Amino acid sequence: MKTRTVAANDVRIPDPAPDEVVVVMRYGKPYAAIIDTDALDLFLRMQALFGEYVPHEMGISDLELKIHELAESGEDTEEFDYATFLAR
Amino acid sequence: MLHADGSLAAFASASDLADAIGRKEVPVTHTCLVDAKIRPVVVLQGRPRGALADYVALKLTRFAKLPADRRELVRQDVFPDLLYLPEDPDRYGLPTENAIDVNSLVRVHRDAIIAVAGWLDPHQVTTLGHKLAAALDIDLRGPIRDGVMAHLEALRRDD
Repeated sequence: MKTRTVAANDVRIPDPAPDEVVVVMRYGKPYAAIIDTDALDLFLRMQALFGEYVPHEMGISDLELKIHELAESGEDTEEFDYATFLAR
Repeated sequence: MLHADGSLAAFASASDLADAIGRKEVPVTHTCLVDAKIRPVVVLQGRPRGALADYVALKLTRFAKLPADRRELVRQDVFPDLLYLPEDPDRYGLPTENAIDVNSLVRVHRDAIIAVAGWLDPHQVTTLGHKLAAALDIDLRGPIRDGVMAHLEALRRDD
């Protein structure tokens, strides 16, 4: 991916914070994203490491990870009602 | 872990247990006590011959502990690693809505399955298969390309 730099004086952007992506929305859709320099460094290293092939895990969203955590822990699963089940 | 004399020993991790085995404090073959809970899973294949005793399955969660706006996103069913099941006790055998987590692949022995509570329709099964292939990093481009080429070749022969 090519890198195009712009002077900070030429643009107005929110301060990028560590471990955070600022997604700029336009017409209800993601238009651009702002990441801090550590995240950019990580992104470039990942890109160099994986090239065209990116492991699926790289794209799992926070919400999917939270659902996975709930599914794995079993803390938010149906309580099995055996009596009701037998009565079906 | 249960010792032969009936006493219990607890280990925080498998590495700690392996270290104890290495120090010969625990025999290589031992009995483990684990927490267990009956819970619903989605079984991914049939075993009509009964030749294989294990099923591959995915876990479900109610996601009731998520904030309301996050739950609404799950209901829109737009996430690659989730399949939303609306509340439909007659169809799914579950009293509430659930989400299937494609990343929660488990192997279940047939003796651990109590009963079949419900069914997915063929479209849901196909969708789940595609999601699972993606989550497992299985590259389907080759088989898809081969299938398209075979189809085109068959069309050419018919002309």
